[in-house]
Amino acid sequence: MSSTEAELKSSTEGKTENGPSNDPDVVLEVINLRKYFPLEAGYLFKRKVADIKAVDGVSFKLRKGETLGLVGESGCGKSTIAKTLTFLHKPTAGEIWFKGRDLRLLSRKELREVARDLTMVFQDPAASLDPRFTVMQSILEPLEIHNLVDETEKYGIVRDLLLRVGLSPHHAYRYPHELSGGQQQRVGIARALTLQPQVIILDEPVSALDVSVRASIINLLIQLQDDFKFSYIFIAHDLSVVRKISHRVAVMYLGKLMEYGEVTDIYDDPMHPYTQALMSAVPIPDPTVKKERIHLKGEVPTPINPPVGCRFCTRCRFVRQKCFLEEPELREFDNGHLVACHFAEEIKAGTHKLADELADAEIADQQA
Amino acid sequence: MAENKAMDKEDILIVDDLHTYFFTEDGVVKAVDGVTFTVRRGEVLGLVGESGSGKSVTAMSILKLIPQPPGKIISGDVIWKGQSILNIPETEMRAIRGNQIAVVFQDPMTSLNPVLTIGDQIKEAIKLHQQVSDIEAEEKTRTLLELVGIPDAGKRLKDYPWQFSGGMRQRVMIALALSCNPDLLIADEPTTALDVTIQAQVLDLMRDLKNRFQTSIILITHDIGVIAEMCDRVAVMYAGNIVELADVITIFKEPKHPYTKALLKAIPSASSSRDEELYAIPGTIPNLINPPSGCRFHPRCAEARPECSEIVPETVELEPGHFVRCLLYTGQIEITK
Ligand SMILES: Nc1ncnc2c1ncn2[C@@H]1O[C@H](COP(=O)(O)OP(=O)(O)OP(=O)(O)O)[C@@H](O)[C@H]1O
Ligand SMILES: Nc1ncnc2c1ncn2[C@@H]1O[C@H](COP(=O)(O)OP(=O)(O)O)[C@@H](O)[C@H]1O
Ligand code: SF4
Ligand code: SF4
Ligand SMILES: [Mg+2]
Ligand SMILES: [Mg+2]
Repeated sequence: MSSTEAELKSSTEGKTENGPSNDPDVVLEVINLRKYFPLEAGYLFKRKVADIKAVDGVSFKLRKGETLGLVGESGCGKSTIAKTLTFLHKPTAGEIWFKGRDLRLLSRKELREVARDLTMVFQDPAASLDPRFTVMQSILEPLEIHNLVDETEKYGIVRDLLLRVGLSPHHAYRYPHELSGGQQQRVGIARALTLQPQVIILDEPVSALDVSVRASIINLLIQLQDDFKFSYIFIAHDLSVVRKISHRVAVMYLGKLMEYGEVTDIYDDPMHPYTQALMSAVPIPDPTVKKERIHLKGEVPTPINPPVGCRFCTRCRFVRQKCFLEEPELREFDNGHLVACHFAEEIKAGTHKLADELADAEIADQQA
Repeated sequence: MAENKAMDKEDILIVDDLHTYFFTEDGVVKAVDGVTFTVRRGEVLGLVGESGSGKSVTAMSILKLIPQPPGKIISGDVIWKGQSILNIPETEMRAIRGNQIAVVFQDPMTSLNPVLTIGDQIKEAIKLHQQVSDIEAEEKTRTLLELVGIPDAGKRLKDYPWQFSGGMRQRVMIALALSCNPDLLIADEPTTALDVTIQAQVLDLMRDLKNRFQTSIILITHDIGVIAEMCDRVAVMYAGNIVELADVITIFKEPKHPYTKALLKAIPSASSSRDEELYAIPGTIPNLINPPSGCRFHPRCAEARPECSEIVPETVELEPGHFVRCLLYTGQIEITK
């Protein structure tokens, strides 16, 4: 596992049936993905004045039957990754390998084929269903787009899917407004399952739901994955939900990965100063636990002009001169745990002082 | 829940058997249906419950901001510093809302005026409630923005709301609320739209307020973690009723009401493994036009008895300060194990 992780950043050599990593367990591999949006100015004649670097060189692998959680503050590029992977955005640069093929090189027709295996569930269950469609029509629509429906099988397919997601067959003839938020999200999930995909991308699928309903959707997603070995990319603001469902977690900041690893590495032993701050900000549902909080000052800078060097340097409590000058590489620590910080070792060992604790002399030393 | 009104000097707010209904085309929405609680000076009282349980309507009733029609406070009372607000004329009420009770809502964008600069809005609020000169008001505005942690406060006074991020707007709302040194701050889902990092900043700010100025806070949220971290006492609401009320430790360590227990089991804890199923409360929150008979929670309750669909539970005080509204504790039915 760890040796393949090491290749993650660079190598695209030795392409095979299984994509660059040549690992049959990897279903989706993203290499150096970039998505820039043009920042336009002018009224009648729009011209591009700058790039919004929403995703700026992200690499990761998604394994069969596993969930990759994607976390980070608002605006760091999570949804942009989701939309780029599902062809709602065209990538600016980078490779997306799925089922042994680089998606950028495929024709429209081939892409449509691939799209069957790569589906998406959205945050707002009401907005993602067509209000004029019955549940049955919504669920069958993906099949119809791909001309895969056999009239005689329609009802049976819908019935099976409804039962799978914990609804009953009589829901087939209802319209979205006749369903609760939780039921609508179940229909959204049923719709994503229709084509029996390999990868399902879930962008904030439970954020709009109440706690009690949220619990049942999380149970459902875990159950479905255990039964069908789907791979999920799971995006959520609620970090305790991500912990519950994910095998691996990628922490993003301003369009880049800061840390990547197994869920326990990221939650129990975070190495990157940003991950540490993020985790420490999560309120614990236990009034007898008083936890030490790392105060993150200010907010995420704009992706139009991200800080040079380490992107986190404007808010990092361990910052040094080097951080303003050199961008840290994503380096591998034990067992596939990747961290992008110049001082990850020293911080872990507890030998790296906080920036506030440095005497002026030391800073001068640093700068020299 | 007959807490003695006159005796307890500490209570600055008493909500007593409040009923607020909405008379809609579809029928009468019994949004708040017999809610009783008190708020003491310098404490944070949490109001927790799923959406539609009546938290915001309770808050709006206290402020006398229920849109009428269709809404109306049907019965019960809200007593602010010994005086019933139901009898206070609107002009006086407006003064109380600006000076003594302040409110912060979930979406700061809708509560800020988009065509006025941030500085002007706060300045206006200060001048409305305090006899100060323009220069003094400006000075005070800057101090307030600094207090809520807006960097470069002096420069940013001239910005418009859209030039501020969500977290900064929420802090401006708190600055606005503070501009009158309120005795009570009602915060309705103040951090729901924010990142955890920014949420932490806003919560710190509120805690600081409470400690420095003895401000009382009603904190409305559906986030159990925020409740655990911030509150001294907690009221759990379900379908227009408070079903349990106690100090925060009791609510988390010895919850008695089946709904409170269910809520706590439904959130993933750090120790719960992936294979452990979360507790999912069956069904959905009921329609408040036609709520279930007897105990409103009975169709979803894991501990329901046959009588629960027939008898409306009373509220009992199990231990001093620990109130529960469930037939398992009221003595209204015989409990066989
Ligand atoms: N279509 C677009 N045009 C221009 N900029 C965009 C577009 N979509 C996203 N962006 C910008 O790209 C950056 C990343 O946005 P994205 O939606 O991916 O964030 P996110 O991580 O999903 O945030 P959130 O947690 O708020 O959903 C943001 O700065 C955003 O404003
Ligand atoms: N202006 C209104 N007209 C009709 N019904 C309303 C109005 N405001 C709130 N309600 C109803 O009152 C109930 C409680 O709502 P609310 O207090 O907003 O819940 P929450 O606990 O989510 O804050 C809901 O059933 C809601 O639909
Ligand atoms: S590289 Fe520097 S600024 Fe970036 S996270 Fe590490 S210590 Fe902080
Ligand atoms: S009264 Fe009955 S239904 Fe209601 S909470 Fe108690 S046990 Fe459950
Ligand atoms: Mg998003
Ligand atoms: Mg509300």
